[in-house]
Amino acid sequence: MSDDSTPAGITARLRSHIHSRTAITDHGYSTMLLAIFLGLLVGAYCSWTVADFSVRWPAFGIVGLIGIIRCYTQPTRMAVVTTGLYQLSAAIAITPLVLAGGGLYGAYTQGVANPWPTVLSEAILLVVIVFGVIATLIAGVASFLDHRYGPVETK
Amino acid sequence: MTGDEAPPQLSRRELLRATTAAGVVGTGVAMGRLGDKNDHDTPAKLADRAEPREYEEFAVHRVPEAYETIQDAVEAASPRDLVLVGPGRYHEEVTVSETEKLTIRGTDRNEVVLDGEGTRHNGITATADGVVIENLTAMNYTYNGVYWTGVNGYRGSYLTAANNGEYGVYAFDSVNGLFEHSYAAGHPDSGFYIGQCNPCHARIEQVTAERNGLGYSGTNAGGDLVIRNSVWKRNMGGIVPNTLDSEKLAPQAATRIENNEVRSNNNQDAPAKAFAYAAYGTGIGIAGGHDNEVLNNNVSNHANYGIAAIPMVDSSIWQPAGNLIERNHVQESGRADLALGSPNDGGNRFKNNSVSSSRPSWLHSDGMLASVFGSTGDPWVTLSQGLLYLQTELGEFPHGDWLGGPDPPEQPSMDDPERPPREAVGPRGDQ
Repeated sequence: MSDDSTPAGITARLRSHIHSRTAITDHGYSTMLLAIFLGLLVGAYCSWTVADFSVRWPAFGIVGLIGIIRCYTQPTRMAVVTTGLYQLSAAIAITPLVLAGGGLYGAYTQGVANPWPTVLSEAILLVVIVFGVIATLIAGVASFLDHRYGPVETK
Repeated sequence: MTGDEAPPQLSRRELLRATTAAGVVGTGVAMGRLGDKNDHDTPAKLADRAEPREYEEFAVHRVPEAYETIQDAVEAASPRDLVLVGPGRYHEEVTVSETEKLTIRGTDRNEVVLDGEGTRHNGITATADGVVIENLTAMNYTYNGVYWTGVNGYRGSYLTAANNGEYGVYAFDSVNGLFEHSYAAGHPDSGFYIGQCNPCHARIEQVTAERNGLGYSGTNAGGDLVIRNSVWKRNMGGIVPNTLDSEKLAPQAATRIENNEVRSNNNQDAPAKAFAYAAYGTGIGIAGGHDNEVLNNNVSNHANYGIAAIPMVDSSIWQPAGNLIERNHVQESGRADLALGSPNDGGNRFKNNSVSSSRPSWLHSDGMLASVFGSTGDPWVTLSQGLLYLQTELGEFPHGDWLGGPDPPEQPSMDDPERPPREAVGPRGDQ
């Protein structure tokens, strides 16, 4: 009973619970830390992008938690990595929308009559392309790892 | 630079070409530098200045009673004389190039109108020292309403400038000056401008700027320069001291901005050049400036940022550094009340401001993040401003036209237009 109350005991019970609910392969500590790191990385990125909407910390918590769970529930360490990269890629891909959305949100909340000309422009298309390229590169790395070391199994 | 030359625009276009670079640089230096550098020269040193003294000996040259045009009266005047202009619409350009300490004054601010009719360049150009322009309106000129360049001593009081093609009330490469009790509206660059001076030894007080590209623009201007007790509203952008390579004395440094009312600078119908649009929705924007003080201002209703310090990309990348933003009340900002862009050169301090949001988050907190990250900036701020720059580069930004804008509302005239002329500014205490 006393062993169960130690951090190691609590972690072991948590992992046992997750395994029983997801039926996935048991991960070592290093893989678990990797999943946490990747999840928090995506959470931090999303938190940074949506700060214009005053939801910085909720975004960090929610996206980070979902990211960790999505990564941790993969069957292999490589699948954890590729899932994290795919998540990061998706977050980067939608950055221009959030950037433009922040401008729209700001304009609407301050009573600008027609805020659309400030965001619906060729400029935002260029930003979409730039971030799309970055996102594609990251997804490409994930895809390469995926095909090189085996498909990602999702639950 | 002469009165017939357009204010410099070329490098601003170059600036726009570098727009994408700004975002990339900002993102690339995402983490910026950690910690503060507090070796900056703030608070700015301000000199005491006595009241301007009245001239004891002077002649009065009345227009149109004695002279058909204002320029005729100027040509006939001696130093310290007063050219007193009666009500009427004057379709001329006036240049004061030789008569130092001349005063040109209207008898009624709203009835004495210099009209450029969309074809003449500058309403009044002064290249002689100590020239004072008072109590009149200048409108519809293709460049500037009232313009001083290369002078020591200048003052614009009770002026109305409206719907001119560049600036309203403008002092370039000039020192020891004052703009006061004046109003500027409908200018695509800025309503009030002081540029290329350090130390400027100048003040802008009790003025109102609305429906301009920028309310105030000050390129490479600072040092004993104060903008205070004024209203900046419904421009495309509010108060924007900035650094550009196209003018001497870069970087812009040491302007004090205090006790101003800055609100609703999101006006897409305001006439605006590309440079001004890039500040859309920002109340007070320090663009690549150093050691400025932004104190006790009331800033509200801006689509992007209430008060922001951001890098400026021209031939060089000018990073904001050593700026002090303190005791401001900022509210209702679309993206964030306070913002610090990345990259920046450190030493930017945000203290005791009343705000509800900031980018990065630690600008408005005293917690652990603030102590660890200090004045590390947020590349998102640079990215969002870069998006506006990019839009201007593509030539598709929303704006109104300067010519044909609404006539300015009536403004209060000076109490006694017949009073003796005075010095442009009083003697400085440090002289």
